[in-house]
Parts: sequence; structure tokens; C-alpha cells
Amino acid sequence: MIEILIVEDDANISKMIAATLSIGGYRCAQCDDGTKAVERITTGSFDLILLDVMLPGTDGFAVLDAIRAKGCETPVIFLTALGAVADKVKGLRGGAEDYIVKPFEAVELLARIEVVLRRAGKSEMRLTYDDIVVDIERHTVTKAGQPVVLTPKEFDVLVFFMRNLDVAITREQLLTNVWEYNYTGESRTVDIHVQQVRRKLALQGKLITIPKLGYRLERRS
Amino acid sequence: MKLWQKVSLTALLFVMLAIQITQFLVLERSFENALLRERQTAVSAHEALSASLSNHAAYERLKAGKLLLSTDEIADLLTSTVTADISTASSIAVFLNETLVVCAGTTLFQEDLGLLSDLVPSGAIDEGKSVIRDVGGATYLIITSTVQLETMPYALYTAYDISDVYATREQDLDAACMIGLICGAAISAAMLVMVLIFLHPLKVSVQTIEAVAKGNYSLRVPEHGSSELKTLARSINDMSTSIDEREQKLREIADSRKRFADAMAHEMKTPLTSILGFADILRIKSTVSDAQRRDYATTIVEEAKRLRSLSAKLLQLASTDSTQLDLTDIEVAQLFADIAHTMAPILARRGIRLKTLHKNAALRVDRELFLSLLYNLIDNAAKASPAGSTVWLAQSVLDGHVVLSVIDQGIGMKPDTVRRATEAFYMEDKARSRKAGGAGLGLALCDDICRRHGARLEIRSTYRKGTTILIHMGVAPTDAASPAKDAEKKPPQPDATRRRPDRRHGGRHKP
Repeated sequence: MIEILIVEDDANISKMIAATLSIGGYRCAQCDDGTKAVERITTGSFDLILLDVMLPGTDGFAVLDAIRAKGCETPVIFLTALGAVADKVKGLRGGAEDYIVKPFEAVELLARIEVVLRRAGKSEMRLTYDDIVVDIERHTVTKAGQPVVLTPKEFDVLVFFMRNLDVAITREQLLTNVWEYNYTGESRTVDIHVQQVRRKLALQGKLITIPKLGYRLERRS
Repeated sequence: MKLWQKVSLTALLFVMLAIQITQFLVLERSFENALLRERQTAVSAHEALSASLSNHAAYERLKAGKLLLSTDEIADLLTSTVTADISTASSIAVFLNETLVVCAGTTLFQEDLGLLSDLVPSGAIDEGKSVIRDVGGATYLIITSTVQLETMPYALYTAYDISDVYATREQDLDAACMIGLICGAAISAAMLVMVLIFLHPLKVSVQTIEAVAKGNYSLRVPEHGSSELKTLARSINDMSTSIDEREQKLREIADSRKRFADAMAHEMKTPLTSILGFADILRIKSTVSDAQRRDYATTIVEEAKRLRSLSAKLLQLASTDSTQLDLTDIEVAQLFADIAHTMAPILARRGIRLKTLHKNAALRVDRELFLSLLYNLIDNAAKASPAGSTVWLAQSVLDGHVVLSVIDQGIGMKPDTVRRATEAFYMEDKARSRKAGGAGLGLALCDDICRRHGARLEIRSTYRKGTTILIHMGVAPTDAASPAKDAEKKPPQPDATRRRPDRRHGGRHKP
């Protein structure tokens, strides 16, 4: 199981991130101080660090420098209230994988984590849901052992739902994460793809439409 | 053209001109003298010859015992005399009625008869006339006179070679020209060096100004050289010092604004992150337990309250500047009684006593703002104090000014904290401040209220011993006198800062 360390000095934000990570099915540990974080990261075996920039003790940038100096290659995502471009550059140059500006939505955080984990080769490459098995590496889908033909976008939509089980996904989030751009005009495209996935894999009653919100792939009861 | 080039070239020009003119005048004078001497010599020689001719004629006549000598006899006489006397002149010729009688020396007169007609244009000989003529590459001084020999007028011409005088003059001129050039070159070289040395401080000044223009405001020009350049250097130094100071002030203001903006972003976004995050979890998660929902909702409410308090403080901070002061006369005794009435019960709940100490004094302040100032200070003091301790609210008079003080025996502040305490969003211990509901704006607000009342907020604190906050009434310089300091302390409202002096003016004179 993937284990993520949250380094955040604000107790409520830390609690919120922990709750979000539990939705994504990640295990997490919390730390509220930069100096202690360096110690825990270098001695522990975390798969990912969510690192706040403004920290008491040692700030986020210094924490990153310190752990990289000790040869720790764990991917890091910065969390910060400072949206300035200069800080962004500083963060990514310092070896951070990504940068999330507060405040953020739960699904956005999960999606960013997913991308970073996949890049680090730590994400699950074989997903199952009931009798559906998705092999991400080989790009194949089988239902009850029988191969199902999906277009690349339908495949991505299915993977996104399976990675966010039981989470309501908005059309905008699907557009951002599957089509990788931000636009709101063509949510029809999303609807068509979701209907295709539902029909081809017989997910009626499981991949449900939530009025005014989007879709959700229900966890098996 | 550069100044040193101009100065050197002009100097060179004048020096050369002066040398050449002087030399020319001196040489001309010596040449005139030489010519005069030559002429005098020539004239004496001519006169001697003339006299000798007359004597010879008289002698020959007496010797021959004749009444008059014939023309031929005179010609023979002339030939012998002239031939004997030729050493005194380069060329001698005697004419009778424009016919050459005798000629000796160089062939000057035979060859160039035109010369003679030129000399004697009208046939009448000008006595003792001397003329200078260039003939065949040589210069001659020619003297003419009439000698009466045996009643016949003989024209006597003598020519003297004075080429040497001219040659000497030419040589002298050439030499003088050379010497002039060499002296001029030497003098101008010396001047060039001196001008460069004198103008060196100017060059240094220019280089410094260029460096200052490029942003190196700490550079200073060495103040030496001539007095004008010293003055210039001092002015440049004054200028760059002033620029340096202003630049530093501006940078401090910019830094403080950036710090304020960053701090505000952080303070606003922290509660927002929790609110948005938990609200989103509640929205997207299909199954949320009752306990979870209550927990999430509580956090949302908590953080929303924090945001509300922060925005209220920010609004207060902004409006402290923009509202007009409603000044009224208040007895300190009354003011303290009001505060004690409100604050004592609140402090008592935390186990802290509030004691007041005052003399008879009155203040002219905006009542609401001033109460808010004292509430804030007392609240801070109480938060820093352990249960069972006392917070003092006291009034005294120092150098004729009323001083209010809030004194506690609490945890105190470190020197660095004291220095930054009135900075917006500055919190020594964020976790503790937030737990107590603070956003780091309290003292910034107090400082602002003080300055609006022309008072100065002073913080005296000893770490672990306690803090005394003093409000010196009516001693602080007005904001107009220190706009930079003002802007530095008040980064969030650039517009308000600019408008402030006017408003202040209005506020102070309000009846």
C-alpha cells in the first residue's frame, strides 16, 4: 500500500488532507514541523511527501534540500498559499515533482498524487473491479476473461473512475484529467464517453449519474 | 571634443602664436638694424668714392695745368679711380648723359640696363638715393649720386651685395620657427599632462556617477583636487547618499509590502484550504459517517470563523486609516473606569486581575478607537500572563506629555519579536497565536491607532519577565514628517497612505 507523509503545520489542513488521502485509498502519516519531517523522511520509507512551504522550524524548500542532500529520492509535491511564479520555479528546480496552490479540491489533489506516483513507477498497474480487469501497461481491459475493446479516451475514463472509487467526479475534473485541458463547453463529450464505458462494460447501476455534480463509480457493496 | 583636448589645443595655439610673433618681431628688428648698418657703410663708401673722383679730377687738372680736362681725360681718370676703388663695392658704373663711361666689378650694370632706367626714370638723379634690388639671385643695395666733374654731371652708381643680410634673416627665421615649434610642443605636452592631472578628479567623478547610475549606490567620490572639483565631489556624494537612502527605504517598503502580501495570502488561504477541502470531501464522498460529518462540519465552521475574524481585523485596519477621527475630551479616570468595567470580568475568568492607576488628566482622542486600542493591549497582556498575575493600566506624565501604559508580568518577548511586533501578520509562535484566535494584526492595529492620534507606541519587554507597552501621547511626529516610515509600516493601503496627510489635517482641526 502506498504511504504518504503530510508535512503541514496547520492541524485542520493536515486532517483534511489525511481524509482526502483515505478516499484515494492511501495510507498516510502526519508531521507538523520541518526539522522533524527531515528526520522522518530520511529514516522512513514513504512513497510520496506532501510538503507545505511555510513551516515552522525549517521551511519546505530547506526540507527538500536537506532530504535530497541525504540522497533521498522520494517524490515531493509542494503545498503552498504562495502562487507566485518565482516560488513555483524555485520549487520545481529544487527537485519537487509538482506544486499545488492552496486552496485546492480533493479530487485535484488525488489526481496530482496519482500522476506523480505513476511517473515514479509506484502506482498500481493492474486494477480490478468486480470481474473487470484493467492492465494499464498493456492497455487492455477484460470483463469476465473476455477482452473488451475501448477507445483510448474511454480507457482513460474507466481508469480514472477505477482509481477514484466511490468519489463523485465532475465533468470538469474528467476533462482536466483525461483530456488534459480546462474547458467547460464540451461536457457532452464527457457524457458520451461515460455512456460508452457504462454500456461496453455493463456498469449500469454501478457507474451512476449524480444530478448537478457528475458521476460516481460505486464501491462494490 | 573633450575639455582636456579643448584646453590643450587652445593653449597650444596661443603659445605657438605668441612665440612666432615675438620671434618675428625680434628678427625683423635685428634685420632692420643690419640693413641700416649696411646702408650706412655703403653710403660712406659711395661718398668717399664720389669725393675721391672730384679730388682726382682737380688734381689731374692742376697737374696738367689745363683749365678744363677733356671728356676723354676724365674717362681715363674715372677708369683708373674706379678700378682702383672697386674693392669697396661689388659693382661701380659712371654714366654721362645715360651713356656708360666706365664700369667695374660685376657685370651688373652692363647686363641689366633696364635696371638703370628703372632707377632713374626721369633722367634726373635723386641724390644719395638707395634702392634694394634682387638681381640674378643676389640682393644689391644700389646708391646713385651725381658727381660734377669739369662742369659735366656724371651719374655715379654703386651696388653693394647685401645677400648675406637676407640670407641671415632667412636662416634666423627658419631657426626661430623650429625653436618655436619645439618649445610649443614641449609646453603643450607639459600643459596636457597638467590638465590631465588637474582634471583627473573630474574623470573619477564621472566614473562614479556612471557606476551610481548603474545602481551601485554605495560608491563615493574621493573629495580632493581643486576646490571646484571638491565641491562637485561633495555634491555627487550627497546625491548618491540621498539616492542610496531613498532606494533602501523603497526597497524596505517593497519588501515589507511583499511580506504583507505573502503573509495575508497565507493567513487567508489556510482557513480557506480546510473549508474547501472538507466541503469537497462532504460533496464527493458517497458514504460519510455521522461522526466524520460532524467533525468535518465543525472544522469548516471553525475555519470560517477564523476567516471572519481575520477579515474583520483587516477591515478595521483598513478603516482606521480611512475614517475621520471623532475627537472628544475624555477624563482618563472615566476612560479607565469604562475599560475596567468591560475588561475586568473577562480577565477575571482567566484568573487575572486588572488594576488601574491614574492622576487627573484629560485626553483628546477618538473614544471608540482608543477603547479598541486599550482593549487590544490589555487582551494581549492577559494572554501573555499566567493565571494569578496582575495586569496594570497606568497613566503618568513624562516631560509634559501624558503616557499611558499597559504592564504585565507575563512571558515577555525576545528583542527580535519586539522589533517586529507591530508588523502586520507577525506572530512569534503561530500555533499558539492561532489557538488564541490571533492573526498577528493586533499590535499593527494598535500602532496604527496611536499614529493616527499623534501618539507613539513603545514596547519594552524582557523575555520571560513581562512586557510594558507605553503610549506617548502627542509626541510622535506627524505622518507627513515621516512618510517613508509610515508607508513601511502600512503596506496594505498604498492609496490610503498617500491620502493620509489631508485627512489627518482635517481630523486634527475638527472642533
